[in-house]
Amino acid sequence: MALNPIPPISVRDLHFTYGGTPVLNSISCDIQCGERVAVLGPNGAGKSTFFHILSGLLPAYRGEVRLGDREVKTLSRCEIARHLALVPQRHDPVFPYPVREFILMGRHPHLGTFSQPGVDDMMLVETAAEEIGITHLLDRPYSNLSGGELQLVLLARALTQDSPVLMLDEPNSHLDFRNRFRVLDLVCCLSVQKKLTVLMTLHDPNDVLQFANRVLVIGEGTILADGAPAETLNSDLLRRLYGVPVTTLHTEEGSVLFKPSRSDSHHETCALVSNH
Amino acid sequence: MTSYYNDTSISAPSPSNPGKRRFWLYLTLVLLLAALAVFSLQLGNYHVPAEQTWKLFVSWLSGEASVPSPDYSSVVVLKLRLPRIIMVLLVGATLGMTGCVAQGLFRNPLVSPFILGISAGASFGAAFAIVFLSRIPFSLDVMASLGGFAAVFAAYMVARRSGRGVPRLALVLSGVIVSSFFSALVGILQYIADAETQLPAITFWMLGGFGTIAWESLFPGIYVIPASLALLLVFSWQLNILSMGDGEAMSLGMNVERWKLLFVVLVVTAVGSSVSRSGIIGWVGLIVPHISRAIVGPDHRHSLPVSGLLGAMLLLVADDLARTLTSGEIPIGIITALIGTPFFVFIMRTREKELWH
Repeated sequence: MALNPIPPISVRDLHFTYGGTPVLNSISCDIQCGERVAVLGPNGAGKSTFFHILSGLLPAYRGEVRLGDREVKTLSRCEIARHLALVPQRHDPVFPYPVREFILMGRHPHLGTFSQPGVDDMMLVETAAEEIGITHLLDRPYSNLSGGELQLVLLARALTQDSPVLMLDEPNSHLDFRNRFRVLDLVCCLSVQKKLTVLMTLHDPNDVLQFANRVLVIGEGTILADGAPAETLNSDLLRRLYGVPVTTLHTEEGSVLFKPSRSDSHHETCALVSNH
Repeated sequence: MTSYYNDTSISAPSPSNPGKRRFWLYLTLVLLLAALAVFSLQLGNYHVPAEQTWKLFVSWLSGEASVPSPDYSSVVVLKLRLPRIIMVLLVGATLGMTGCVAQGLFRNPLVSPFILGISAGASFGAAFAIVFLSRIPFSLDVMASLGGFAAVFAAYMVARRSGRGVPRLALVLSGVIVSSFFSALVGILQYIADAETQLPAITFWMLGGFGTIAWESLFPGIYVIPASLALLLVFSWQLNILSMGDGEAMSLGMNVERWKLLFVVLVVTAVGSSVSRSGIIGWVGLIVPHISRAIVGPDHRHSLPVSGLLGAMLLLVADDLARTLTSGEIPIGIITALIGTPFFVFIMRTREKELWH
């Protein structure tokens, strides 16, 4: 790390307005090599906008956004893709590409205009599939996969992009109980193993506690808190963020769980309904 | 750590050497197409025996054709049928491949150059060139391509919803609108046109056909079309990336607007050169990519060349039917519509998932 003091992502005083409405207000943060950063915030807080700005899709911002030592506005699409790989929140398949071909598309930023992927690239696909444990899916059409499988395939595609930063936009929002855990656990293992810097938006504060080593709390377009999850997250902050009362539970192993609690008045309404 | 996640895995089926299978497929298709082309040479209302046709063709191949006595058979085979078949092959390959490109580019299995209004726009451009620019060389091809470009740009802009991409049915509908608009413009030109010289030439586009093709009319299309199609093949893998949608293609490092423009320019160049010779021919560009993907899968590195071969084959069969079914000549657009419509109904009913969701 000492060899490379330039943080992979560095944001200074970022402002962004969309159609006259301010979406992001004075955001500043440095994300260091190897950090696993969760971005937490309610719907509409500007998390996706933040991601889009980082990946160069919204160049009309004010402030400074650097990927490595260069401003994101000045980078080509290809240079951005070699710096950060994005796992999108949702993906609608149109053509039933075999999983192998789909993952192969991650090699795009490394190939010239006139070249097509070769044997080396196919090897990288195999390697990524092995790392993620989806070799058995390689010859299936990706449009027939379950939500959990598709998420793993998208992750494999991002890995073949071979970028130092991995960005995941709500990686587990539409997955079942098991896959929610599985995907995030895998991301953790990979980030340690391959020394990746991970930036992910999450909806569940408990996931943040379990899988991130830093949390950026975004609310009302600005950073409300930034730090290690266990020290940063508390029921007051979450109540302020989401507008619901939050109870903190302490488990026997000594870890903390957050749980939204129902207000008393709400209880009475339900009781009235069930009595009739 | 990987084994931990592998709990649901069964050993992967070993890939049954798809490269080898594809080689045989390409070989079969090329040989079939060549056989069909040679067979088409001896088809026609003027009977030339197969043996004589073959001899004429071989002598033409070896460059002796201009020497022998200009008997009627050699005129029919070498001056009428041969250039016609070459043009049919070029146009068929163009329709198949550009249909495949359009479907990948717009992530939309319901479009083709015809549906997108490119054909109508190109025929307006060609008609405009006939009426106003007849003295300028190559004005026909250039104007047809420009007309096609204007049409597809208009269809795209009409269908586009800011931030939400282009809904599939909206694109089909706006293509219908744009086609109708350009057909109306062609109608106006028909009124302005000189009834003796220009009108017959314009009317021809409304029907579509290869009846007037001679060696002279192959130029410059015989260079322009293969060049555009070859470039499409070179860039075929980029279409896979584009078919992921704009946002994802960008995050995969693609300059989406530039690539889309490049593909559209290549498509309208090829279609413009085709339409300015053959007139409007529907359905081939819509159904051929579906057949091609059913055979080799959706990877454009393979579905694109196969679309070209199948398009050439289908149009050749349609043209053979057009010139042999009756003693006269049926406009080829009628044949392709008669073949294409029931086939597309079949695709609609059996591949609903791919089409609508």
